[in-house]
Amino acid sequence: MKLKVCGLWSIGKVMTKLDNVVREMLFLAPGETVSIIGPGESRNLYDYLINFFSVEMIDYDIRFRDDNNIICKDIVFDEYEPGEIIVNYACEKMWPLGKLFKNREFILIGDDEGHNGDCNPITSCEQLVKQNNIVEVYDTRIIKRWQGQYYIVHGIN
Amino acid sequence: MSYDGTLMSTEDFLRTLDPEIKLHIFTLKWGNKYGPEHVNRLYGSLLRYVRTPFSFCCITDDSRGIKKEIQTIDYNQFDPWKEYPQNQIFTREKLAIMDLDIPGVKSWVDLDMLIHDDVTELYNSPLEKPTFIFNYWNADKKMAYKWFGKGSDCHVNSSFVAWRDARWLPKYTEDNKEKLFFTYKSLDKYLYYQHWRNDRLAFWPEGIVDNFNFSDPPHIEREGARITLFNTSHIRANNLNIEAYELDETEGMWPMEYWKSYDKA
Repeated sequence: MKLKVCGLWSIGKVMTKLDNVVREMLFLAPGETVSIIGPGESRNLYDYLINFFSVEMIDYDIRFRDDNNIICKDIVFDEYEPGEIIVNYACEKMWPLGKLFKNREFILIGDDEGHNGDCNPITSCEQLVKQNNIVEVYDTRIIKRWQGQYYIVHGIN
Repeated sequence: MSYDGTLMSTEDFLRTLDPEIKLHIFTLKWGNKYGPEHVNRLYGSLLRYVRTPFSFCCITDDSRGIKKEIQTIDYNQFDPWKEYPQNQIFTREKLAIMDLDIPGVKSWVDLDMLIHDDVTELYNSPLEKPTFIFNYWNADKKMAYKWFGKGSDCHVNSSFVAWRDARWLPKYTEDNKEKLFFTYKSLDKYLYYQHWRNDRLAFWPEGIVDNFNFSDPPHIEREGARITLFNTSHIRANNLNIEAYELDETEGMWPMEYWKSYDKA
């Protein structure tokens, strides 16, 4: 069901608090291409951003192999060149992307819940900054999630 | 041939290989989880159920109690990725076996596997890709791949493996070691997420390998199965309420009868 939502960009699906933070961070971003890493089933941000950027979603989950809207690759291990802006929803599950891709604008999101499969639990924004060699930090946020917190960093490396 | 129990270097081991033998089987024993009886009985099962000449070698840090006819390589000189903690890509030493320059068919078998029927034809199969166990008993279940994206699935098991040429695998591991050792705690997950996902592995046909604790119904000797595995670690780690046994805990059950019988093989 589509609903009206008050926000910077007017009409769309109801967005999560996390999606809204990302949306705000990207409001005046100068880049033209956005790669969303690890969106899972969430499409809200993608549906908004396609009005303003060239956007792609990248997720290694094999359930998306036949999904034309998703590039089904492991961004850490498979060869792929992402866009100018990288939004990583799953920093706790992977090698820091800032070590692989240079001169990019990043929105880095990770949580501290330590689930099975989390090789890199994120416990602070400073950790994200350091791991990804972020040289200029535009914004940081911490927001509550189920049993822990999301740590969010916006910046360039 | 008889050996004196001395732990050999890998180079010395390679020099001892008989060029007439085309099948080389390895196992790993380090620490104190398994005793020499595990090695000796595994060897006994292979003598009974492999109808082709083969060599058998245990990579170990302690050769005491291991039969003299079993070759032993020094475990402490074997792991090429010692700079990483042992609990990252746990049992990665298996990949180093794949890097040995040996012609013919190579295999590793975990010490807690029970071989209870003929496996010769498995070793005689083409083995165009390194061939592993696929966890059909879990993978066939509804929702088996639901958590793939979260990194918590795993349907590959590396307890009974054979190959002809798989040197690409230790090379890939070496080339990507920094990222791989950061990402994966177990060898099986690494293989599943990077190599099963990209179709680089092969698997034994369904029914050949059974799982004593997870197949339905559990704990029976299943018709057609030649090998049975007894993994319980994740049951205990996750406090699952499942009646599960390691091979050496099956006293009074059918696996123990086979296992003990291999003392006489």
